[in-house]
Amino acid sequence: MSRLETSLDFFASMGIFSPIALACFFVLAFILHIKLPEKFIALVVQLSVFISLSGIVSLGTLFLYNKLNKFEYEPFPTFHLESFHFDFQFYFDWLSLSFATLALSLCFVIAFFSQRYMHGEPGYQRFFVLYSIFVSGIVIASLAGTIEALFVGWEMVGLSSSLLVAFFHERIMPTRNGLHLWVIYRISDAALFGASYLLHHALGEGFFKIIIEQGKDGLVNEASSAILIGAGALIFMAASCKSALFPFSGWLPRAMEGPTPSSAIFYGALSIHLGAFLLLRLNPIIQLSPTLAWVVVFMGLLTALFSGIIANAQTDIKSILAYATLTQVGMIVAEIGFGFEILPLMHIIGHASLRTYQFLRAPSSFQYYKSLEDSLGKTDLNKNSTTIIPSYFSLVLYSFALNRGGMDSMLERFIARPFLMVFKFADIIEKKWLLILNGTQKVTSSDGVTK
Amino acid sequence: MNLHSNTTHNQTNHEGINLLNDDQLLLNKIISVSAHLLPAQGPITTFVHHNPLHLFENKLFHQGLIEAGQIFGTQMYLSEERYHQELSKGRILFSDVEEILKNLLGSSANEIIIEQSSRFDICLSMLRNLPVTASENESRWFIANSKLLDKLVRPDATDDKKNLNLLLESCLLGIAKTEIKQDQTKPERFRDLILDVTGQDTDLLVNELLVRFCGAFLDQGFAIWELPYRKEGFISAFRNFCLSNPSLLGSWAKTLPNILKQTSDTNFNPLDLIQDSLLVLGIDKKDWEPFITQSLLAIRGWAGMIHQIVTRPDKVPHPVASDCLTEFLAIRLLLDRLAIKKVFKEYSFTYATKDTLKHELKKLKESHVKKADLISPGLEAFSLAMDLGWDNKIKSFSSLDWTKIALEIESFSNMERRRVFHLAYEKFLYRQAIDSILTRPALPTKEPPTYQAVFCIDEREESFRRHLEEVDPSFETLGAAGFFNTPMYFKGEHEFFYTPLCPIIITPAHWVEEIPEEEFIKAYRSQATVIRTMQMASHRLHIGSRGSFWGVLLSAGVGALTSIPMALTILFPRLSAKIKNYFTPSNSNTHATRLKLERFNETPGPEGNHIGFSLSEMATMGERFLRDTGLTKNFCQLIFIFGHGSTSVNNPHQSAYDCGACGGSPGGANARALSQILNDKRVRVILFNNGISIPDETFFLGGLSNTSKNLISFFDKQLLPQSHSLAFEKAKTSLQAACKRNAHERCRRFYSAPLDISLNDAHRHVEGRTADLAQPRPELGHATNAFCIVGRRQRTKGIFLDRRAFLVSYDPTQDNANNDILNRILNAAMPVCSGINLEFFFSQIDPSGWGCGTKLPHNPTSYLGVMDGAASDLRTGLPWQVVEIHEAVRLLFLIETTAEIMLKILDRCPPLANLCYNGWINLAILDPDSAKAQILKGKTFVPYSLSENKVPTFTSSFDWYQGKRGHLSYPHISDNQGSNSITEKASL
Repeated sequence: MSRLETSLDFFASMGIFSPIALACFFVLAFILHIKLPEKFIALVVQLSVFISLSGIVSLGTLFLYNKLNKFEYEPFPTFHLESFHFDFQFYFDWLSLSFATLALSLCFVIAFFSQRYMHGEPGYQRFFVLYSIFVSGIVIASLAGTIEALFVGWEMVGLSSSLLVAFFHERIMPTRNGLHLWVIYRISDAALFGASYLLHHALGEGFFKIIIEQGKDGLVNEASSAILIGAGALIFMAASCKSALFPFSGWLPRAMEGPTPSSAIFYGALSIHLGAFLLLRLNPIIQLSPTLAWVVVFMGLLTALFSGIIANAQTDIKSILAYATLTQVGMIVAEIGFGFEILPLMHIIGHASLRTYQFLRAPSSFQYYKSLEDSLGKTDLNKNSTTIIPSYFSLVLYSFALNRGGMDSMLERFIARPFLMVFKFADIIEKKWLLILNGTQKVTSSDGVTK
Repeated sequence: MNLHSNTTHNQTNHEGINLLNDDQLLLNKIISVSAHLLPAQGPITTFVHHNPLHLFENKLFHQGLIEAGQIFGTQMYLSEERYHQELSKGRILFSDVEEILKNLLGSSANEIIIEQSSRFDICLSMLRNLPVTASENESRWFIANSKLLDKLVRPDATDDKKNLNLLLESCLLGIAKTEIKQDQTKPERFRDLILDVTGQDTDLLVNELLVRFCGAFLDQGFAIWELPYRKEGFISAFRNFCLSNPSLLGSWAKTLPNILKQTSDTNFNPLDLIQDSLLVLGIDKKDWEPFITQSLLAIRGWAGMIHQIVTRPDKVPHPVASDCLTEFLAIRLLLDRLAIKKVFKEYSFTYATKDTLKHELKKLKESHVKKADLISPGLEAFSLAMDLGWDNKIKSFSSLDWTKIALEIESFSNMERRRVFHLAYEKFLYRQAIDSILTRPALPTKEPPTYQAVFCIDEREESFRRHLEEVDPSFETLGAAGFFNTPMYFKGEHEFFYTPLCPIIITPAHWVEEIPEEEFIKAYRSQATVIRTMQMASHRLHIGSRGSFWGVLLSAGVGALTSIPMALTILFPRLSAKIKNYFTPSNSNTHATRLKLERFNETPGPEGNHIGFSLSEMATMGERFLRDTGLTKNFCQLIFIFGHGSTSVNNPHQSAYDCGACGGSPGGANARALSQILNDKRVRVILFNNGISIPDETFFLGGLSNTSKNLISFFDKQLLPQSHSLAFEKAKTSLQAACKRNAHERCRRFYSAPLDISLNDAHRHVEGRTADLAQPRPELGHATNAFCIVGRRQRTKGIFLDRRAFLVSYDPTQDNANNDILNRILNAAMPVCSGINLEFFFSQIDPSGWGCGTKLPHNPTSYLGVMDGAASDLRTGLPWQVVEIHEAVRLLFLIETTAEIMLKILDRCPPLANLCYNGWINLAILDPDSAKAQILKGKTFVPYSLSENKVPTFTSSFDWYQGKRGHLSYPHISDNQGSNSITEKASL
């Protein structure tokens, strides 16, 4: 192995294993009920994220210096079964390096923010346990070179996101909304799982490099390109859930239950862009079918349009920012659908930084508006009197916006409710059968309502 | 469903106005009474502290708490566990607990209940041992299990263990057999019943829609679109909202549009809708009041805000129609009943019609029995038996004996026990302070002071004053309510709107404006243009970044650049604040300004010559200020008057840190106005004629003391006569040194500041906190307030009061025969200070019930307040981060006067009498002529007897507090001998 390769390996392992080691340590301490001091927790988090960040940055520097384009890093031996390979490989190129650098820099800054913000909170340690899982997840997902690795990172991000939404579990809304998010993320996971199955079926292995390096034109020649398109559709489905595209947008404002820094980094910056990143990563598959690409463009624009409308009627800062974020994510997805590469990446990086800052400053809104009104001499700075005129159409538009497009009630009515009804029906039937079998006449159902 | 089922009772007169029938009048009355139970917090940008239980002030404190607890479902004292913790920390003495218990029980204390145990013994034993709590199943399992163990290990089992099990079992059985009536109140709202039975919360469905709608309805400028038909009232806007897109509502609200359609009738009255809902839900007339109260309290924050905006439309830019609370209630009940129907349908798979629903609900209510809790009295009895040595005789207890025991346990309930602890908690704290004040040795006679400095009565200024006196004994300090008797609407330079600067109970009648000096008009204008352009640009960018087109350009183009300021502010808050300040134009002092204070027109108003006060008004205000503080003679050459304010970022509750006497705004302008008034030669002439002679060389200088940064600034320094500049420089040095020491003392309460922090680092630390986006505790506000001392500073000087005492200057020797001055002072100070104190009290006792919970998930909403996360009730009260270190005690007023005068004043002012006699504040008097105190017990004053503990003496505040985090006692600080030691020790 050349010296270059050794150092590349070294930096890659630094970047990947530093947060993983941290997460393992924290989870272990958490399971064993070891209470760590606040300052220590903050210090190791900052240190570990810093190590990881410097690993990635050094790798980038080596790339620049040696004019490299890509590098594969395979820390574990692979598992082969006849023609199927299950690999845990990381793939470094400019895209993954940029996204990982963005993610780690934001995580680094937020770690400092959270140290002071969360000080004295009973759940301080729990917050950082989840935070470390998130950091590992986002690093793994952004650097993943195979769909298996991506899946692991994807799960870790999903798990920590949902649990952080439910961070204040003594109240009911955070737990409910955390659960809501978890359910949507499960749909996303299922779709990704399906995609991984199809990819393996089509290519015999889950390497991204085949997709990336062969590109759209190479993939067309694959015998199983039809299956690949199916995988692409599933990947888009997974990304839609993760990035809250239409019609899954309803969870995003609900996710604002956690502490401010977690809302900022998850839903202003990283989690929300992870879906878009995945589409960008596997863009050749999306571009394989013009129809699919147009669907991506269409859904992206639709999301941007809807959230642009919905944002107008929101009255709380975090929902306003959530829908503003979604507008941009929709635009990013549309750009990806058009087949751009550099633009969406720049857009992701710029937007993530901007929105994180805005989220972090959300509690300043009162002071901000007050000073603004005082020096500009008018109230209602946001109101745009021309956009809304008291006509029937504007009323419809308004109630559409305030109802958040009715997306949640739509999901509830057409997906959740039928499921629940079937289960409930089965429950009733079961009870009736039990009655008959037992020969009992009168029984109250388990929930106590006398029938 | 016919909304007008009872229109037959309605009579319509010729003008088409509905006359209300008796039921509707009753409903109106119920609603207006219930409205007063709602939180009285207005828009958060002017946070005013008030007693959340102000409606209960005409009841005795304990009684008020019991009643309020039943209505609000909140905690009213700290938990017993908390009190036991305080007991172990030494903040409560068990000897005090005993004494208080004895007093409360009175003559019945020695009544023998059983086995030589008196009532006092039983109660005391219950106080001594933290009650064991276990659920029924837990105890059953335990007993069954231990029996099993006994069987298995019978040969080896010690007698003790067997006995214990037997004892526990017989206690549980004995108590279970007694027929003690337990509180069987049923929940008023069906939501609670249904939640209990099915686990389904109908409020989740209702609140999600209602909270979002309330936010839109009340929005004062956060949203871009305004709610259509908002001005036509709650129901009208709601109807239009629902009818325009009925398909978007959740499936539970399917029938909502149909019902709402009927409300568009011109004769429609929201009370009809309420009556209709009451009918559908089958609420009897006698239950209306509690039912409606509880329905309003379900999302009390939003309902309270509607009520606030209805009653004080002048406080917001977009007021609402006057009967919005009734309309809100009508919609709330309507949604409630739809949600109840839905849950019913889901759980029984039968469609509940209008008629059946009522019966179903009735059945549900009747069948709902709260299980009598027999386990915890049983466990209590067990612990009593162990503690009082009944174990041997327990077998012979008759059922009558058990009933007696159960009665004792029942009557000394959890609430009563916590009351005893609470009183002991207060007693410990009060005793330390009164002892210290009474035993302080006489101050050595000294030369008359060189400077006088007047501060706000705020307890955060206590340490500043103490340090100032320690640093420079030539300072005399005084305390007066921070609006300094100059109530006004104030508009600063570069501001467009007037802010009221006075206590919330006063409505100012005058307007004052800050304007640039003539020669600087040009500089002012260019600065104003720069500020406006920058603000406009930043707002445009902000709004743009949220839209789609500009959003793409901004985020893809320059978005990444925001990471630079973000990283800077988070990693180096203090440095970035400095950089930011450097580039903020309004902070650069390019020109001098002055107050437009004198009015040249008869009538006061906000424009032109109407601005300001007339000469006689100024003289009256000035004279009242001087007489109230007792500063009528011995004027020094230089007299400082300091208002106070607080700086913080990312803090929705910032206003709660500013001056309460200025309505939650910084009070610098008042200090500036007052000094300008008192410097006016013509005012001095009038004052001279009224008997106050201010020497010509006396100069008043206004200033602002920043309680979070611990910095002071001065106004109109350029007007200072040349002859005073040397004295001024010297005083400034002392003031700045005192600021540093004050910052150092504050740091002992911040866990992120090391205990051995140096003076300079401490100052940097507190400054850093105010610029830190990530800092939820920029300062601790009024936390730990416990005393209010009204009297001459001579009585409290040289006592370390630990930033816990409001200090009001009052000289009893200068008061008139009628005691008008004291009367005036108390009428302002008592409601304000007790409001602050009781707000902290309740927010500390139940942080999520009375306070607004932790700050971390707060989400600014509708330009009015904060929610927890995405869609919660509007959270009122104080955040946990502010009350965290507060000790939940009532305020003790220590007033330098005699008992007769005090009682006379209370006779004159019923609101004050309510507060004092009913125990919402504690009252004591300090005899003006001797070191004696008397405490108000009931309606008479009883002499206070000193405890035997000796109050220690230290040479400086620093020597006492250094290295300590917790609450401290109040030792004496001997005169300045060692005062410079701090500089040597701490600046190392």
